[in-house]
Amino acid sequence: MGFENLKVLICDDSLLARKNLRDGLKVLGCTNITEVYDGKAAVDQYKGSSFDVVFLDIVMPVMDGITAAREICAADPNAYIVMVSSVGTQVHLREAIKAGARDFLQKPATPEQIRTALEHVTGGEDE
Amino acid sequence: MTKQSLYVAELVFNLNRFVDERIRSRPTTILDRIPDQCFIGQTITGDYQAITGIYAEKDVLTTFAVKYSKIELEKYDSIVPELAADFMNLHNGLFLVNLSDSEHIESSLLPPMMDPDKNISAPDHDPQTVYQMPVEFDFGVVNFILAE
Repeated sequence: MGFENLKVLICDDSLLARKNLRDGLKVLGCTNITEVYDGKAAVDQYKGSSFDVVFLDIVMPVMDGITAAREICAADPNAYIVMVSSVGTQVHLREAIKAGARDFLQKPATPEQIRTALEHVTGGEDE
Repeated sequence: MTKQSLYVAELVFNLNRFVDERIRSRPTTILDRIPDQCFIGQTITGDYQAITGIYAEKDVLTTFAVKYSKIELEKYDSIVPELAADFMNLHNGLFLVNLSDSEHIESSLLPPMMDPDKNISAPDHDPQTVYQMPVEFDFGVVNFILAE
């Protein structure tokens, strides 16, 4: 599966973070991108229409990213969640992994980090 | 090093990295309370607790937001506080990573606050010391608040 076919969900309360991630994904060929701005909206969106990969912020209003990851993974154990947070401490990393996240990007995520995360989703194929 | 010193050091580093390399840090002052005009901020919770904030004149804050986000803005509007809060979230997060790595102190963040009708506060945290850290840019002075 190439990146252009990936169905991507971005969840972040920061419009700048969403923009930067969206721009990075578009450069890599992603076109099917949905954006929401809190954890509950991500859970609802995922349950309504599953995604190949979910980029989740941790610190958000309404529902934080760790709780959202836990709920998404409970609904779909195969969900591929990448946490993207400015608080990349070991404690947060462990919490994220325990909640079901497969990857963790420290903000600001670079285009190369985004590409690597997508390669993990597709099993290394990018074309 | 005190937490406040660590915070300032991280702040200068992040301002240089994400906003502008030409900055001058003015002396930190201690205030009686968080200034009324400071309505953009974020609470740090956990082993280390504090309220952080940012404020400046509207035109200065607009230029700050433009330089940080690389988004062109003609004038101050509701997106400016959001972008300033985004910088605070990024900076605070990196500060907490540093605090965890260097001091083994584990804290977290609450979502940013940016209600123009009330200044920043945390319901369960009554700050003892309010530090104001002014930073001078070519376009004006931006004040950062750390209330411990």
